[in-house]
Amino acid sequence: MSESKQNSRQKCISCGINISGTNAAAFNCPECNHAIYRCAKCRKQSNLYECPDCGFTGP
Amino acid sequence: MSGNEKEGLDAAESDVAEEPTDADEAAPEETADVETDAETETEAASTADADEATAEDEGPTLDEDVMPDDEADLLIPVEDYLAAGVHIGTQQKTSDMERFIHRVRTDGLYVLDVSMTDSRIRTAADFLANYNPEQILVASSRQYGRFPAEKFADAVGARARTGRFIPGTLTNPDYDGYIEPDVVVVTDPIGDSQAVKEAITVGIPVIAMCDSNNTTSNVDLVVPTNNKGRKALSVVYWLLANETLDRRGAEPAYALDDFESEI
Repeated sequence: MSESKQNSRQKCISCGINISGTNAAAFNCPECNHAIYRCAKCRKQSNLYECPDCGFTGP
Repeated sequence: MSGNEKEGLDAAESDVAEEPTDADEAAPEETADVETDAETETEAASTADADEATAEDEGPTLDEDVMPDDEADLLIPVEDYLAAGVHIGTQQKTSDMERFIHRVRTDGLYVLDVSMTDSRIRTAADFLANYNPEQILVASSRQYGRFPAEKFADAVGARARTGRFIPGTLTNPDYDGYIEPDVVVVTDPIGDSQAVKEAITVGIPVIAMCDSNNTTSNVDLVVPTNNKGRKALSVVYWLLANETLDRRGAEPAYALDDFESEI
């Protein structure tokens, strides 16, 4: 997979912005292991995220 | 912050034991007043005491209602959670933690929803089971969290950094104690703010045990619990260790006593 395609899939799960720079986090959904990306801003502001697969709401 | 700690600790240690004592004291006083004092004023006073005692008896006890669904299936009996004071929050609350708070007690302490604590312990265990044990870092600068955190790390094979979190532990490759974990578990986002800060810098997820007065900024998974009480932290770390081992298919070989530190 090309790097651009991979980057295009790394969108923040809360706000939808493309992930760039540091301070973002990537992890699997605690319930269903779906890949979750959170941007620095949403992490800092503690915006809720919802897993598109299982509906788990975090943090 | 130290004020809050004392409130939480006092509440955790004393509330469960104090309630029956208050009720016991109220009854003899009332009887003694009626039997010995003939003066009208005293009788009036005893009547007032009796009214107060009756009102207390009829009202909900402080630890009676701790979750919306009483039939919820929990990892340990709800009485054990209550005895450890896991549900006891602080007298302050944040909007972040509002969804984990069940109610407010008459003394102003917020009560955390025990069923949510229970489900989040399971979720955190699921989450941690996906990682290589050695790539899990447990941090606790809080005194009462140190022993359970170290014991948890020992149980699941993780690494622990208790006491002062040396700046650069996650970010400075020149430091001797430099490590590159994949996930961080902290006892208190306020006390372990350095660990959280460095975890953000390197972009790894943070699991935090949050009380009702914590903000969940830069936390990726919240475990709502009383993070100030000795027994509460022991219970939560014990359950987390057991569940994590269970998810890996290993046999949990630890009892709650193993996680309880000396006073």
